[in-house]
Amino acid sequence: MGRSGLWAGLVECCAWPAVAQEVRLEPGLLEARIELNGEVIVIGRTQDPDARLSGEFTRTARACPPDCINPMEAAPGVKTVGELELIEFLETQVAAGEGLLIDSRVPAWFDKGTIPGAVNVPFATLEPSNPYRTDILIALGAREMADGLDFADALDVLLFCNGPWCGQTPRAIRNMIEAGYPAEKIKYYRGGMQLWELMGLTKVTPQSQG
Amino acid sequence: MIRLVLVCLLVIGGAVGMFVLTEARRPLGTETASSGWSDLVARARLTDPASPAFPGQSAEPQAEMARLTANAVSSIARATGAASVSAGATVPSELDALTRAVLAGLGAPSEVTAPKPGNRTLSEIVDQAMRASESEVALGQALAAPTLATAPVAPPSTGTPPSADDLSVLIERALSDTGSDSYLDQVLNDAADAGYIAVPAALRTPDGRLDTRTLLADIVQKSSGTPTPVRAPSAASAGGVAGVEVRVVQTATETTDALFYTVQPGDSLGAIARRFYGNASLYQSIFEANRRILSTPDRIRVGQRLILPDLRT
Repeated sequence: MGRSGLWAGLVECCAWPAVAQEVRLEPGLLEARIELNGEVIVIGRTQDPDARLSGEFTRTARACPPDCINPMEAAPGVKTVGELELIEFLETQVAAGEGLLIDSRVPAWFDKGTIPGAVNVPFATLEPSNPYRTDILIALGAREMADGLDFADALDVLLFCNGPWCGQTPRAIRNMIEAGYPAEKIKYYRGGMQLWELMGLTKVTPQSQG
Repeated sequence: MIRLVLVCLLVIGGAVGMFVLTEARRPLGTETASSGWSDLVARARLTDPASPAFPGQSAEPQAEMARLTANAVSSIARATGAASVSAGATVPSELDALTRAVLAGLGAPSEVTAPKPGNRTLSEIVDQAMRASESEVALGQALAAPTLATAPVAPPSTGTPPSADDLSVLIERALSDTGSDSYLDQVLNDAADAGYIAVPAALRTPDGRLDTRTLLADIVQKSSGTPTPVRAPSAASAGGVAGVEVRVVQTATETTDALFYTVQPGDSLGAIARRFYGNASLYQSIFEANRRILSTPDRIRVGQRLILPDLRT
């Protein structure tokens, strides 16, 4: 009894200095290192024990409309994912050139900081009113056929915006599906930047992203 | 206590709503320039269609969309390694310039390219209008004025707090949250679709959308209190806009050049009036001159050919 108490004390005292470095992604994983396009991106979490959200993402009373609480499912057949699934998506599909992480916010927000590896496709460019929308769908791997677009080889995409209160991604997803993009090739990270930042996960500004 | 506060808020909200409504009924051109508007007056000059502030009102959003799309496509190509266009290619510098241009266009601070004064975006204009107005009531006034006498802002329904349905509040929210034109356009159109706000007939495009660009451009013009002199429409003032046609018209007494305009996607009568006469509220004159083919000012169709009357006489 006394011995285990001693051990507990020892563990506590010796483990303490290391605690500052132990905000992990998962119990067995401190950070993810992913090679995308010949460049290694690292996703970890802030190790600063005093880190707090600040600025935009501390707001709790955003007006609805336009910033309403979005349902868990963006559209039928579209899988909603969390942070770990997003990182896994980068490690597998994106690293293999079969997927794309899409930040659907407007460039001004994208510029302030986004998830490493994300590409900015503003939601407005996916609206049916954009006469150039087909260009984007083709860039995403759709093929132009005589009778419309063929999405058989289109990329798997995972979209996000500012968070559960941001309607831009659900809107973009619905517009993609309406354009023929297969729902099973689309994923939705509902947490968005709000939860990404809340978890202290690595954020990059497009400049540093290169 | 909470109830008391709520009641107070409702009363204040109601007062604001009433104010906005009464302002909307004031005849055009009578608004007084308050002290805060001096900067706006300077800004308003930029919206004079004689200057290149808004080259082709319906064309510019498409140009912006083209830039955004091109940017997104290049980003996707880069991210997917688009094997042929690898990182070392000459694309990046061009792309960076494009990126900066897009960002500058959206009002984001950019250390390299400052946005040209002539290329100010809607958000900048309204942002400016709001900063200058110092109060929501004044913004409401600015917003109510261009909604033109025949189409007042939707009266608040009795069941909900008046402020929630107010156009100005929606614009303010949309801007404070994203600051983007396209998003503002979406929000306003969503609000119009949902019946939160009434779309002024003159600002209804052929596809039923709200012409936010003309609405907001008009805000600045209206709030500056400087009426634009009425002038004859001219093909030159349209600055190479598609759909303009000059035809010789013979009447019993004289032969004149008449200006025709073919309605383009995204047009509203307000936009056409602004483009050719410099004042959206002159839409009524175009409407009157085209009574034969137009039933109401909000029912214009793409491809319709409108005659643009000479308003100097």
